[in-house]
Amino acid sequence: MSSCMTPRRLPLRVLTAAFLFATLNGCVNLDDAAGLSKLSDEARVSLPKVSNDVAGTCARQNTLFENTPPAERPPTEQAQDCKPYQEIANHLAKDENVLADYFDALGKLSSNKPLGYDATIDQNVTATGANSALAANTISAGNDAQSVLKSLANAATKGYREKQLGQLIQQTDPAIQSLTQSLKKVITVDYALLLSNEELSLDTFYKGPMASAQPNERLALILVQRQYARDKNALQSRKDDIVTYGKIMDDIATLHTKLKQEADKKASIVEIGKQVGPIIESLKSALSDIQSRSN
Amino acid sequence: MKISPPVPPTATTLTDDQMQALAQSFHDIAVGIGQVRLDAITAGSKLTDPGIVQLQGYVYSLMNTAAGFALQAANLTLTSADQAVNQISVATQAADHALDKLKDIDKAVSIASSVIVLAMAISTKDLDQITSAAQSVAASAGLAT
Repeated sequence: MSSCMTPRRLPLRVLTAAFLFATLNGCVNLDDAAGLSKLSDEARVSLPKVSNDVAGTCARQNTLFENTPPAERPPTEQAQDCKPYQEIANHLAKDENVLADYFDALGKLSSNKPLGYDATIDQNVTATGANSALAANTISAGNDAQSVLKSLANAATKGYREKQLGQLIQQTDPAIQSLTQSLKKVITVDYALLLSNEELSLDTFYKGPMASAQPNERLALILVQRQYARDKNALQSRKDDIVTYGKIMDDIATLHTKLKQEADKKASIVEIGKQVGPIIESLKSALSDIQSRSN
Repeated sequence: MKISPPVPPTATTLTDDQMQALAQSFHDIAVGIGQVRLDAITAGSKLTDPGIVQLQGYVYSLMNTAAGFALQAANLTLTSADQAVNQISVATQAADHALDKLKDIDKAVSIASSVIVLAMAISTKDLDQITSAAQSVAASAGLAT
């Protein structure tokens, strides 16, 4: 049996001794201790569920607009052009992917697995190029993402291994801090305003007809009230996602700060695992919250 | 004594916070207009009454303006940006305040249309047009200018 395998049902003392032995032999790495690769997989699934809705809210508002009888709206008004919203959602998805790639790379480097990003990095850097028509936070996130990608490209080209992990973390920290805060701001401020617009669209769409319903429309009114309540609940769920997304970005920033501090101190993997454990747990729980709300 | 020539005002790109504040102001006015419309419907106006339809159109336009400020127009550069933002802020606050519990549809239409003109003036980036439009908003909201 390999010293890296953990036998079942062994007493705690034996397990602890095995863990320490494995650590000393290099079998336990940062990825085992912090679960960075798994975390990046979960982030890759959950984060776009929120950022894609930048385009989703535009589409829903247009549906409400189109379902409003033409006689109740000015003939000059038109549905919104959702293309710019889709473009922003695409940018955010790429930026989130860079974050996920980065933490996946940290996990791979710490376990001395090959990075394997060489082929895609240049293309991604071009793809996240700033568009001057986008809001400042979106541009800022794109620039930070490029910076992270360049560090990753550099690490891949130079064949970084576990020993250079601290160097990569130190180099990338300013971009990670900035990227997480930019993404947080786009979602918690810009997207939040779009959802407030959607809420106003919902209220306008339902409340007017409900207020003008005739007494003989009682049953129809009940059905409409239920639909309105359902739509409001769905909107509230998206607002909850905004709060969770902001917390996730703060947690990622804190996680990276901790990793940097531990790298500065050249702390042991066990110590790093102990330090980042609570943050990782908080992140997993927040990512899982977004997943469960989207089901 | 030497007299220095007057320094021409410099063009400044609005900060992200200023853009957000603008977006929020236009959104808040849209909410205010929406409430006036709903109150009028509750009081007996029909959904197809011209004033109600007009208010509905203003709600859409103001929401689109707010969304545009939040997401697209980050490169908005204005001459004397702080002065312009201050004038816009005073005007939009006056409009928002005037819409609170307003029952008069015509007055709401007047405020909303002046705010739309202000939004268009902002897009021209011309301080004179912004100043003039901001004064019109303040006047329609009943604020002495």
